[in-house]
Amino acid sequence: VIDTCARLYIVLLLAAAACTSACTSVEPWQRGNLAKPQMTDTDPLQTSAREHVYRSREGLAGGASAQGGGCGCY
Amino acid sequence: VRTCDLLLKSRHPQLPDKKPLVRLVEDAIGALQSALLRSRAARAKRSVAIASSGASAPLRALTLAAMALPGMAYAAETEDAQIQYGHYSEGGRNYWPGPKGTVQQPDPLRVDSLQLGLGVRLTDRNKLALHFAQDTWSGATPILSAPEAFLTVSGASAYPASDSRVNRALVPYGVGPTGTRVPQPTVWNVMTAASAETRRQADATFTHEWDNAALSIGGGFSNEPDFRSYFGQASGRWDFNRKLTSVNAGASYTSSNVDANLGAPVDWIDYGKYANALSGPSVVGSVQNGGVVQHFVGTRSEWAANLGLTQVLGRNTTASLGFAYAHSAGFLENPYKLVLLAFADPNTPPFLFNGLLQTRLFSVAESRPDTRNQWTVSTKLSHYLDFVDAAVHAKLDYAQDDWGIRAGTAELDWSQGFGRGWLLTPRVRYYTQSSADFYQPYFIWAQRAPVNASGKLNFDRVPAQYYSSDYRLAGYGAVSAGMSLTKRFARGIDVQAGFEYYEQSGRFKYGGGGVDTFADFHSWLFNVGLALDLTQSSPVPDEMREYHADVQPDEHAGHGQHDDHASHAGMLAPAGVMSAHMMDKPGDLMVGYRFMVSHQSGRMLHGSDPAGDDAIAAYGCGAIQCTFAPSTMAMHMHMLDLMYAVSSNINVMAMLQLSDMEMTMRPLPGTIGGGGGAHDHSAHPSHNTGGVGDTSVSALLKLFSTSTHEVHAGLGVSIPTGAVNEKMSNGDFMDYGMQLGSGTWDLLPSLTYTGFYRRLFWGAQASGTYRLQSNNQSGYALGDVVQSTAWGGLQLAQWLAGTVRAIYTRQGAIRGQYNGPQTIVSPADVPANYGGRYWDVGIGLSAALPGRAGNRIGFEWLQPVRDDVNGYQLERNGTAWLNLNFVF
Repeated sequence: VIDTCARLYIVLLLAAAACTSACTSVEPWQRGNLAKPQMTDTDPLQTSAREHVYRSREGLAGGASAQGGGCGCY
Repeated sequence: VRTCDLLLKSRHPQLPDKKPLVRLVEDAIGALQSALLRSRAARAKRSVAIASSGASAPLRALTLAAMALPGMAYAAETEDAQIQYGHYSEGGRNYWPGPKGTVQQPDPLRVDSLQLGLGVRLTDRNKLALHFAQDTWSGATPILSAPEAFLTVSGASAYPASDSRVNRALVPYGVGPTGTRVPQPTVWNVMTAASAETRRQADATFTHEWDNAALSIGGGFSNEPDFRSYFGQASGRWDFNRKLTSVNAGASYTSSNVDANLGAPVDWIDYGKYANALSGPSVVGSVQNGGVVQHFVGTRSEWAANLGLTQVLGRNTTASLGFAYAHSAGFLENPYKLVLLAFADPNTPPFLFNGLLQTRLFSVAESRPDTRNQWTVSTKLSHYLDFVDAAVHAKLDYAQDDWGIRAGTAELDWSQGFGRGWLLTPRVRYYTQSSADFYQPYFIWAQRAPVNASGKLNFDRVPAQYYSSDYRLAGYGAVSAGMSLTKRFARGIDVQAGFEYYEQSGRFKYGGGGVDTFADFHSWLFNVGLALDLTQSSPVPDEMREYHADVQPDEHAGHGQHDDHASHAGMLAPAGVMSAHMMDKPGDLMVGYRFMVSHQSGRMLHGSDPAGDDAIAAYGCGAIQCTFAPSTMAMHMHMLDLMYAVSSNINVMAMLQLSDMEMTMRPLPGTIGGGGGAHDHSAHPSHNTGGVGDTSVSALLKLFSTSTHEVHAGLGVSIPTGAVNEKMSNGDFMDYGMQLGSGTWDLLPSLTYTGFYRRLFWGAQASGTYRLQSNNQSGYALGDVVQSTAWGGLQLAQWLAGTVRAIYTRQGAIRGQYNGPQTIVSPADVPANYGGRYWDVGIGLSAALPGRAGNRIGFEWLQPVRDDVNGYQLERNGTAWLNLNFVF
């Protein structure tokens, strides 16, 4: 468990380190692609419906957010 | 200045001698002053206008308060609205069919859900988001799991036995086809059917935005018959590093109350561990309809916090990392799950059962720790691929808790653009988890059963403190795949549709060692939705004149109409009138949402007179004695209205419905219903149904129109998309009033007149529902309906209108009857007790919303004044309508 966590950490820290040099070059007018609908959640209502299913069917899905959702214990 | 003067003088000799620039400046200042004076005068004039309309300000405030829509201030600039319908259904649950295959196949679980959202910008930097969700579910779910050797059959249902055998290696031995004991270790689910239940959730989030940050607070509640929770959250976001980096953090709290109705006590389930517990979850009994009903009650609280970082990595790439922690405490058990505890007596004399051990079995409520701590790490990488106009999103999450569960999730989305607003996103997801420390399909110990003197299980001496057989805590994996299709139309309208197939199995567990195949199942999720960008519903130039009318109070009486046609008066019609107005401008699209709630309770009527219980019992159910009478009936209906102006004379409409109903019954004194808990209904104090209702499509044709009067006719067809085979858990039809649709193709004609004079407007409508078939698939047809209504209204202010109206409705009795099993216990089960003649009066208000002239919110209350019912029926309390329309 700790191993997996640590590995994740390292990967992300490397990514973060890599970005500090790379991302400084992205000017506001160069962010057109980042603003495309493809880069966001295209169907947030479906996402919330899916997450509701995962939350009520899986032991640890849904993470740790209090967004209601009810018992789901059927 | 002097230098400039010289320069100017030299270049423009025609300028007057003395200090030309100074003069120019003086002139400019003078012009500015006079402009200021003029604007001050104008402001004074405007303040007169405001003062004169100020008389209605308290009324306006009161009305908005009465509409119970906080934040829906008149000045609010609505931003977006969403509506989505979803359908979830499950299959593939392995249930034990019994040795002769006699166990009834359980109905699979299905859920119909509705989500509504509205985002409102209160001021430039303040936003309010309102959200409503509703799920109605029904069907069967596993209640416990046990090896075949430990199961027995009674009628069409499987139960755990109270006694069985195992060998010395604790392998279960059951009675085989030949009557001898054989190994039967295969684990099966025992399913339990539940009648429909509806959950509703409402929440609101308020957000304040700065240039580089945002703070939001929100809260809401979720309510279902057995579970009620309240939640609140606060979160913030801070952008820095020229908005290339943002940090977000949040905290939330949820408080829940569990009150699970376990029905009448049955002797094979032992709730002894929780029976009248002094602290923590408790099973308590209450007397209901003359019988004892058990409730599992308790409270639960949950704290959660999260911290996240999102980073732009390049012009095509973003990444995010998040951490979350949650702490739950209290009633963490699933109140509907049982666990089979088996005790194999190692001292069983070998000669008694051929060397097998006598095994006592107890079905008990599950037991979990009172607290749970959960940690989650989530990562996401999004990358845009220029050459294919697609984005790929990869998500990887890891979570673990102190119950022993470790879970990983991987998801890959490919979001492909196709131009013209089309977007297709296929998706795959994999989830895996290890089992909780205290999960087992069933528990078995090689020891004598720890029972007390009365033969009941002594829970203090059970060798495990925590035990659960809820499949959610087992070790398994889940694979799912699906897609979402979005089409963005002009005018900011998005139509979305999607599905996902999901399969959960012990075989899919990462690293192997998952739960046996009995726990496998699969599910389908379908969803369709509509998202509206309300800023696109903005006024067209010729409608702007209405807004300028504000500063000329003298001219504005009745002004709201004279820009438009008489159809404008129809727009102000009460919220409960369907097809009341037509749109004039070809190509206009109206998207409307209606909500209706109606309630019946109190007296039973026979004709228009109150009926006594004796008369209901004797005559309410025909030749049979009625044993129950309805005591309340509630109906909620959500409707999506779509209307399109083909031309100024022809509009087409479609309406989709989602409804749910709840009925409670009371036993009639002096009958077996009132005599005790023997009857099935005693454990079912309420009946519920819910799901998709009938769908209608119709056309409106303008017959006559002047500047002040309009007549239009409508003809529609109702398509029987609503179910008419809603049944109780025992397979009997529910009463006719609980069905979700008519089951027949129906014709919907209507004729509407509207008119106005200055601030007054009025209208009348005759409409009908004619069943085109003499019976539906369940063997009956609802009665035809004729309704006539007339209303009058007054524009109380430029933006607000009030209405009063009268309604007369006549509906025939049900023809035919159910063609399947039905137990007649109450008047609602008898076709003759439907329909009648009904008189109502309505009072309504409607207010203009920003944007196009047709953007309105309306509310109407319908008060019954007289009922003349067919047969025996429950009196009506009233109906409320809420109507929200946007024109694009």
